Amino acid sequence: MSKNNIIESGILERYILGTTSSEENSLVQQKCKEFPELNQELEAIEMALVNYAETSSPLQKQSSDKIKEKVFSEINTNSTITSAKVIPLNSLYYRMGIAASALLLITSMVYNMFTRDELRVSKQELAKMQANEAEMNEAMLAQKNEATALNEKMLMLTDPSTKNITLNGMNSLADKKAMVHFNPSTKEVYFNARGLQLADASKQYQLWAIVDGKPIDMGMIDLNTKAIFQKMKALENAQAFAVTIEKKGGSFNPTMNTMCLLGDV
Amino acid sequence: MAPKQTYTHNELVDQLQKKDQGAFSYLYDNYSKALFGVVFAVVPNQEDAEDLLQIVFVKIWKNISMYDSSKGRLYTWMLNLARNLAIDHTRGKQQKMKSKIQSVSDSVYALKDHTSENTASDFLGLSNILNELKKDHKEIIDLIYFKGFTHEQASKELNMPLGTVKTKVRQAINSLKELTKKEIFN
Repeated sequence: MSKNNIIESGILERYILGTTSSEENSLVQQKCKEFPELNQELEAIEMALVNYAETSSPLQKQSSDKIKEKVFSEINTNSTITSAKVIPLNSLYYRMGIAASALLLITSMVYNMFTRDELRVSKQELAKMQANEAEMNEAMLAQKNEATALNEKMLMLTDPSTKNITLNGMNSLADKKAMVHFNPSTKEVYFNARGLQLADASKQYQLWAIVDGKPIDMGMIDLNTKAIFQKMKALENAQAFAVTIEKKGGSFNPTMNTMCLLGDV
Repeated sequence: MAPKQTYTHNELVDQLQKKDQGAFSYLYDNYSKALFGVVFAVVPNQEDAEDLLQIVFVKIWKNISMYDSSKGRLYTWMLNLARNLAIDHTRGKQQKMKSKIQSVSDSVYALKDHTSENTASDFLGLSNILNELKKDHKEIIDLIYFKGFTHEQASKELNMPLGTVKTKVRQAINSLKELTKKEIFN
């Protein structure tokens, strides 16, 4: 196709109008490289169409400048704002929508604040109750253990083979009494201090059993225990029980002149 | 009236695709009036058309990377963008105000009155083109150029053989070229 054929065919006009196919576009571009004068022809056609559109364009210089300003401010702000601007904002419904959304948002925020506070308080209360429950469980367990211990002691005391031996006071404890509960079949020995006291903190009462004339250590007496009976060392047989005042921790042999309680079996 | 060419077509495209705002300013100065004419031919309402022109140029700026010079000239691409936006706008409005939509010929007549009183000084006498362009040429050019008809659609619309449409388009543009030259050199 010659240069003139191209011009005469009207393809250049259609190219500018945008009604050419992609094959025709390639042809035009190829021919424009081949004949650079065709580019001037294209420019002339474009210019004619631009001028024609301008004659149909009632755009005042002042308005045009304003629009240009708006366009530049829009392209120089970030894209999210730009796309939001395109939405017409003049609709009453739109404004009401915004107002309603804002109100809803605020309401929900306030509501959230309150519910979050309520939730916090509820959580604290729950934690308190759980702590209380644990405490009560502990107390109950302690009572149960105490009851079991008491039960055992009751059983021991009411056992027909248990011997209840009264230890009579002498010397410093002349007006005092204590008890030993001794069951030879179970070999259990319990000491009942019955309100004994000891002023000297460096000393301690020690229980002895007298077996065949010899003293046998039965253990130290704990005056701080809350229990009524204190379990002592096991023993099969004894003729008498005695208490002496010894140094803290006890002695291997009783100090005979500190003996203060004595009872025969 | 002819744009002062400080960029060749390819230079302009290059600079725009590099997001050069100077080139964009040049583009606005040289093509806003023509693109407004295109928009106004479809949406013959001054305020709406001005809003649309703003959207057109923002879109040109945002989408310039999508312009492919192997598919046509930059002006053709901008023309399509402007016309499509304007047509979309009327379609959106069509539901509400069908009766207000005017045919292309109506809008151009309306615009003739408008231009002669308001913007005569801007036109430097070029409005004569409207008078000197043969009526049937103008009809075809307006359909294809402003309304976005293909040659085939124009042939059906005007009840005219396709060959005749093609010839008349070429004749119409030729006379536009002549008239443009005449006006520029007068």
